[in-house]
Amino acid sequence: MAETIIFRNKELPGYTGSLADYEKQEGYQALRLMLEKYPPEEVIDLIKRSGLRGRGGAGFPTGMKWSFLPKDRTVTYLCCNADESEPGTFKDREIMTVDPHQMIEGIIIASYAIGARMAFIYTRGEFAKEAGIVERAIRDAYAAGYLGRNILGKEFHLELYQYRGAGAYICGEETALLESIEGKRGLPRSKPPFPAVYGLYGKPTVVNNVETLANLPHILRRGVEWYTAIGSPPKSPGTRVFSVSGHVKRPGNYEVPMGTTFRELIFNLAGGMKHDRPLKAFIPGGASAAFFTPAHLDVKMDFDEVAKAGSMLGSGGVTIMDDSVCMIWAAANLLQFFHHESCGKCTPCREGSNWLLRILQRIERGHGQPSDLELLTTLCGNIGGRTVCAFGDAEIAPVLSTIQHFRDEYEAHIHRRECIMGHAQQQGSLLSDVAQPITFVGH
Amino acid sequence: MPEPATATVTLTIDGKSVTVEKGTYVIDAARAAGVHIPFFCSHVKLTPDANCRMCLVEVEKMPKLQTSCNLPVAEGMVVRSASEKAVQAQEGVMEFLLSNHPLDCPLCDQGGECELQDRAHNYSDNANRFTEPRRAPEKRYFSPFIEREMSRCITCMRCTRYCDEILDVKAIVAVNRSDRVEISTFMDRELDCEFCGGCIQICPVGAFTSRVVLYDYRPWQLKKTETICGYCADGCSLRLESKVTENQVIRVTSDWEKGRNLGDLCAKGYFGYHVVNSPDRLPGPLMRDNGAPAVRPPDGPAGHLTAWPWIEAIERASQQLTEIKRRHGPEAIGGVISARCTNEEAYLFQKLMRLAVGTPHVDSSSRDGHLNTVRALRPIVGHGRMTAPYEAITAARVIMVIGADITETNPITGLRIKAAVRHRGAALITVGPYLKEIGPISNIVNLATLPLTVRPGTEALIARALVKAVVEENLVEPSITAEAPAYVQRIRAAVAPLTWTSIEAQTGQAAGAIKEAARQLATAERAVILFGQGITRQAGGYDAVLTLADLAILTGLYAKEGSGLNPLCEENNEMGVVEMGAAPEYLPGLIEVQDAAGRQRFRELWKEELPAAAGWSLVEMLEQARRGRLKALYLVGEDPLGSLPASSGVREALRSLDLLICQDPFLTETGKMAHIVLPASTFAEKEGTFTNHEGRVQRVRRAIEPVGESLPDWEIFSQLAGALGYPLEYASATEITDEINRVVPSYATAGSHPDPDAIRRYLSGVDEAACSARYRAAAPSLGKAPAATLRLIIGQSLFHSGKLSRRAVELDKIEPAGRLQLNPGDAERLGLEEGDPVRVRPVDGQAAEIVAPIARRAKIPPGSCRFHGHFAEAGLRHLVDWSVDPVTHVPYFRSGRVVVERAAVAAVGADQSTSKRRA
Repeated sequence: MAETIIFRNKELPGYTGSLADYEKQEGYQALRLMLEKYPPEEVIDLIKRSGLRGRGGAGFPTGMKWSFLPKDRTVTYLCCNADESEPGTFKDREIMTVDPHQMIEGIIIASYAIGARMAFIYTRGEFAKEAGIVERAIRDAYAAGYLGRNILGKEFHLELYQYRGAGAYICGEETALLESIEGKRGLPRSKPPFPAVYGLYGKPTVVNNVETLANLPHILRRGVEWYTAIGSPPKSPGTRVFSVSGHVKRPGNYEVPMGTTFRELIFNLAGGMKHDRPLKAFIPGGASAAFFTPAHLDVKMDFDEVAKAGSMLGSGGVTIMDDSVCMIWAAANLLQFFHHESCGKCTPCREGSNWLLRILQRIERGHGQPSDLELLTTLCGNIGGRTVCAFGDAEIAPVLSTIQHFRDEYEAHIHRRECIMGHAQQQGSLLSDVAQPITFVGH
Repeated sequence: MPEPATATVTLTIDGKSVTVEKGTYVIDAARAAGVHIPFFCSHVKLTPDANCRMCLVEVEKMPKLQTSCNLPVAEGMVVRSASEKAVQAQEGVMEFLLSNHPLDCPLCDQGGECELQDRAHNYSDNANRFTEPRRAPEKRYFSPFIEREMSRCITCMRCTRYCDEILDVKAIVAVNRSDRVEISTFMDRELDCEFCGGCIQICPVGAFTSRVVLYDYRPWQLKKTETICGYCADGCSLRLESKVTENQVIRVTSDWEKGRNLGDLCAKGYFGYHVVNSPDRLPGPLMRDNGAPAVRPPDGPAGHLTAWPWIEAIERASQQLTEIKRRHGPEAIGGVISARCTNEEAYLFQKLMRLAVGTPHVDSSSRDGHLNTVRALRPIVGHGRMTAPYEAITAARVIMVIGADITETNPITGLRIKAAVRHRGAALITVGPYLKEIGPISNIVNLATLPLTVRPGTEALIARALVKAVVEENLVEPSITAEAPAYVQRIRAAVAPLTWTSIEAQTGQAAGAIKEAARQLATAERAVILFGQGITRQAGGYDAVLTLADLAILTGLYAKEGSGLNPLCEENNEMGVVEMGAAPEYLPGLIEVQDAAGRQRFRELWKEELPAAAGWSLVEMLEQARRGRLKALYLVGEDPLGSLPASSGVREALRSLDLLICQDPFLTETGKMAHIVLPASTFAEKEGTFTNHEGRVQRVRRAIEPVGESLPDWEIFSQLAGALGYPLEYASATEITDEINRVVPSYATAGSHPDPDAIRRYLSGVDEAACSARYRAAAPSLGKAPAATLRLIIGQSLFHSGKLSRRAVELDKIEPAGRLQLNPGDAERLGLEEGDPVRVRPVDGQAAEIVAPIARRAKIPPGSCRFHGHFAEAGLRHLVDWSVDPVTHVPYFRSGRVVVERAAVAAVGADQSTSKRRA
């Protein structure tokens, strides 16, 4: 197996992720080295040269994101995005749990580089156990002098807080995350201005993903040359943790070099298809990514190759579906999620997610109209690119890609009321009826 | 809002070139170019939110469509709002918005003025592709005043944004996600807020409508009259909308961007209009049926008040006035007019009293505090108006609010302060007894960057301490030091005996914070001081205003552009009635009554001798009535019995009169003692002008015909003057306005700038002895607080204005009864829970008392309690101390020391026990 970075310690026998264990594995050495050797601008330069790209979803070059901060800033914040909520993605959760100090060291390094004196970890609300582990790790890091005033005796101070979300998918969107930390309703902001200019409490802010930050200590300690030799340089260097779920024999997190093929991931690492049934479709990068078919198995898992093939590497959640899955059901299932999680701020996403879901449900139940495919396509067109945040583009991806790759299945539902899962014939659905509004009290 | 930018940008929108200020948003630039881009969430009052996506446009070199409401213009930008791509996007959004809209337009109160309805015509092709059942949110009770219909909501969030950004209240918020988003309150409770009506007015659809007039009208049926609010001196422009056939005001609306209020209103302005068509309005004139004023029974005149025709009422009033004048001389007659009347009425009233009756005794309700301001500031700046208009407040870098519950007394001036602090980063210094507390009504202390919390009644001492800090910390404006070294020297000498130790001990505020406040005021590029009733209605008020004027002079507030000292007035026309000469010390235009040249000028203008004797103020008139020297009192809109404390001897005074004429829209407590009661019209039924506390003279217009047999006050004066044989005839109020403009040149256009000559005269003439006496004067003695007593503060409510608003049914529903507001610590000590009834009695153990439920308010300082004076039932008026300013005769009666103890539940009146709303 190729070299792992993020899960290097995880694979060690008896490794607990405690501060002592982490320190034994050269933990916080990168921080020590950095404080001795590199001024902040050199750290930024180093990360720029490493070619590290964000592991949260958009794959934006990390060093470049940092360099967008205005030069004349006085206060800067760093936020670690640990609001991992994308269906099918569960990598950050494991990174935080098995090696929390790796993330914390990354946060300290990033804060030093951008000049932040206060940093936040925004942890997904449902991560109760994980939050406890992170909280403990923060406490230990303070006690050991890695956080607080005069870190390692140097003129460098950093306060780190964990802020727990309240269960909204949208708070993983970086500006909604900032609103949430500010104590407001977690709604995305209209951009520009971007967080680098107007972020947390209106101050220049960097939001980085857990996995992105966890890479930093390794790059600093082992050097740019070492890092850029891994994966799929120059555009997609390094490794990536993929969360594999669905109809495979061994679902789980797999760290592989960028550029590995989906075939390798699914059929080798994850043990191949469950019950050896044929692969029908897979989502390559979390629920927001367009579906792929077996024809895409040899696409290399790097940011640009996947984009070229018509989807995105996104959050690294790979969901595998075998031939028992009705594609309309799958799309409706995802839309049910998107409808539930649309923040409701802007019209196309709020109204569109509901409408798309209703149409998919009715097709799936055998009530589809011949005009529905056209309607779905035009509605998607009225949502995509018209919303405040990327959520609008996300919610149309499963619809458009299933229509593109599985049009015949839609037509079978509509014209012949045929469904491989038998739903159209049953005139009913496994899905709950969303016509009943779900009433929550509170925010 | 962005700071004013001077640079301009030229861009092209739909082929039209337009040049706008840098920082302008594309949607506004389009409007300037005459291009209409459709929108819903965008609003002139609010920061852009770009949530509705209706205003999507195509911009060259930008791959995605852009929302024009939050896209700043750029040089050379090429925008297409009507291209195929843009229109397709706009129609797409429209289709989404209509997909779940109930289209219940025929029964929606917004029908006819609905932005969705209007735009649907242009951006929808009528074909509804949405065939699913429409969303039907569960309807839940919201508020007695505001109707919430969430099925109509288009989730533009204007309401919540307004509630937050403008009001700083955040009473309503969005809850839930996705298409289940609803506007609700914290924990879905019944709405409890400032009830400004802003959410109703700003809602583009019928999601929020006024429940008060639900289904009562179609907007196009209503007659619309632009006028000025008759409650407080903020001078808000509003529109009275009335049904002509029923002669009824149906609702109030306002135009954003218009008037001094820029469309913002408060509960009084928005929901308080029912006072106009109140069933309690006097139907016609009333007189004692025996008509014999000479016989005085022990309490009030004999006989019952019965209805009489106008002609007889005017005749009897004139006969009796003539008789009293014949027997006792004109000086036995006095008149007091309410500051709710128009300038024209005040002008005519003083003319009636001075010329037709021939008495110098004419006063107004402005005596209740505002005369302290005018008397103190007129010799210094030439008038008593604000010297920094609202725009200057918004643009100020440092604002100090001293002795003012600004949200309660002047809510719209308060909005200017909120805007300055929240959107422009101004520093806010507050001086007053109240503490920070988050609640349904905004508390200006919460926004303070430097809150100086002081013991109640020591605001004036803080003013002196600020002056001391300015001279001692070398913060005096250099031009003043250069120009008037003697003045600065005198102040320096005067404040020297004042020690920081005693200031700290008396006010409870640290010297460091006071000095910091002085430093901020003196060094700010633009600073504004606002002062209110905590200064003008508190013992020593006249001296306190003079001290603030010294502070303004020394910190250069009168010299710096955009700075100034701003008095706050309570009643709508306090400023105007005094300027019109309805005060014994002033002729119109604030000409001092002893001023020989001024008298000569008016003698020529009016072609009549002016009364020679010195005039009496309201307080003196009551005193002279008690002594038997004042025989007749003509009260216009004034109710001294209902407002002054028993210790003022008001009842004895009124009982001593041979003739009491009360002219009012309602039968007041005083009216019940009157011999003649004349029904007057409210502001909605008359023409004229009001002068707000900025000094803006604004036109008041008649919305409905006078209710019942009532007449505008000026018409009654005119008739009475005729009957007295001294015709004061005018065809309309405008003719009086014209005369005012003749006798007080440039009155309506006079700005509120300080008069530099007056300041110069003042600086050279400050009397050393008086100055040092003023600074030496002991702080108003709080006395040694007897154990287990509280200091009672009579305050004002946001929902009421004097006693008038008690007649406005909706306002009285919001706050129907007084509650004794206590600090939770004091409540704890007394073992009182929220709503527990208490008996409040004077320390000296007199029988007089009030019984009221308590409200625990963290805002109230420990050791104090607060009660809203609008609920001044008889008992309350025994609980306050009474004193009169030796210089200005301003009565002080809004505090006292009381004992609070639990009352038996049975003792609480039904009225109070049912009041579940806050105090």
